[in-house]
Amino acid sequence: MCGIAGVIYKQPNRTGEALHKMLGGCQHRGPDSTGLALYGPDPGEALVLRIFLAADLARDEVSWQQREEVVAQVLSAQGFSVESTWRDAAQMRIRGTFSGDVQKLSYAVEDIPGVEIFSLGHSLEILKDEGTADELEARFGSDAFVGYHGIGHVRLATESDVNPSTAHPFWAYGFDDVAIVHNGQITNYFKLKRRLEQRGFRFRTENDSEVIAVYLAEKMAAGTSMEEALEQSLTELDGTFSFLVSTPEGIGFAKDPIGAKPMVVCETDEVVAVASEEVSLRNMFGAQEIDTFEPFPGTSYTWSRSTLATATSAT
Amino acid sequence: MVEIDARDRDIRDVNRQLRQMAEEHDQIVLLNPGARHNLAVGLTSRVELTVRGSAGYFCAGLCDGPTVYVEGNVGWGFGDNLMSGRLTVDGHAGAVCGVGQRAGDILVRGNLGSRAAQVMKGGSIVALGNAGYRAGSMMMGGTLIILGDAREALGEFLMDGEIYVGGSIHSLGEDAVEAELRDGDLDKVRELLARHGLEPPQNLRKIISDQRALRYAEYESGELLFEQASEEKAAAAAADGNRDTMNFDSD
Repeated sequence: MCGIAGVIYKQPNRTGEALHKMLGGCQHRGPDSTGLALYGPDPGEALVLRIFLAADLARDEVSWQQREEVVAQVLSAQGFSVESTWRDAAQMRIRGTFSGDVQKLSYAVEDIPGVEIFSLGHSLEILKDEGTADELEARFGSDAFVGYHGIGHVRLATESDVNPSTAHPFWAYGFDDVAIVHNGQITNYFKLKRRLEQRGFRFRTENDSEVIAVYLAEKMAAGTSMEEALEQSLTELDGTFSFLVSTPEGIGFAKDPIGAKPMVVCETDEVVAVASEEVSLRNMFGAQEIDTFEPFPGTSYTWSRSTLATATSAT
Repeated sequence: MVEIDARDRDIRDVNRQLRQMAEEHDQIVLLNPGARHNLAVGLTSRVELTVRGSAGYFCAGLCDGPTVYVEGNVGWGFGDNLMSGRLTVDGHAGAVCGVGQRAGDILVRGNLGSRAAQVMKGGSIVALGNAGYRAGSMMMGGTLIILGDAREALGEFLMDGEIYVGGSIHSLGEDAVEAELRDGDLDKVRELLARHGLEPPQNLRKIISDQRALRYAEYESGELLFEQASEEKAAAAAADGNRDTMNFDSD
């Protein structure tokens, strides 16, 4: 099943808390893992990496400390200068400055055995783990996060393993600041993945949703707008999908032409919220009366920070 | 009239209590539905239930007899397998509204999501707004009335029953055809709409099954025997001058 949620405010707000409420409202759609992709209000100079130390420490006879040191060495060799490091068990956050090729940097970090990057960007931070939305908040304190927008996901595993790496959101590996959350199955996943791999792109997991992130990010990096990329995805992706994509500019959705996966949208004067089910929106808005609508199958739409003030509704 | 509050309560408990209350009271108001799933499922008495807000998936599913009035929206599968009764939604309904409905009347004041009236077997569904993709797909009977517009693949593979559309039709599905309104069609629509205090619109269009796709050119053996038996029975009855047989021809 899986549940997705997205939010974009006109003024900076507690996006972490809004997504926490929405995901809590649809935890029944996915009890396995929960994740958030949050964007800071303004992309700064600094680059932030969210890293997962997936190594089997006992087997590899290394300590967290040693693993952390190797990461620091590789980053420094790539010209990344570390400003701060935070670590809680296997999850790390590293902030620093870097002016080189982020794809090269991310591939170098992931070449370290047992090290995975969850997110990399000037504005994006992905927090994800096994467990519920409440557990995720308790671990990362994400309710306090302030920004304009973000997306989130609760996962019921179908195609791949349950572990923090295969939890959503998926960062578009190699492309800074792009993330997706997906509900459905991409049936031409292997073909799409192979084509992208032939062109030199890497993947971290065996999860079909990951391909959507790299597929869209590659289009957008080549100059296609998010709007056009989503439009193209409606025919180029096969299978069932309701997904959300996010960049520092905003969020967008695409819904498969057979309408197999749900999505409900609510737009008010302050915020646009998208979720798999209305119960998520009701949970976020509380007592406030809201109007909701279900986008039609085979449609896509985007909301960007710059145009939101003048945008009209999606249908 | 009695009230029941669903806030922070297990839905199974709420439904259990609803069924008990329905035995003793004529009118029940359900507070704080919070768009949660499976509310008011399995009501089998002629109770009148008002849901103060939006309900989630499968609201008023497997019901036989009640009058349910939802003041907000409903999620997927509203009125699933309705056997009898009257269900009304003030807002929009999600996908597969009235899936497998046997009888009774459903009114949606807003729009219908995808695949409304899927495998519907009887009764009526009326939408004041538009219907999403594949409305009336695989319908086997009953009447779907869309007063707004219908999206792609209307009536995809419907086998029987009728769809009436007041607005525009984006496209018809496989094996669905537009038919002339016959004598009695408008009266039937008027009667169904009158149950909700509504009037038929101008330029109503009727969609029925072309009855080509899901029919076999050859009879299957059992079917043939059944057909022969019915014909023999009909002939015998006609000989008796008393045609008291079942009419299998829906027209």
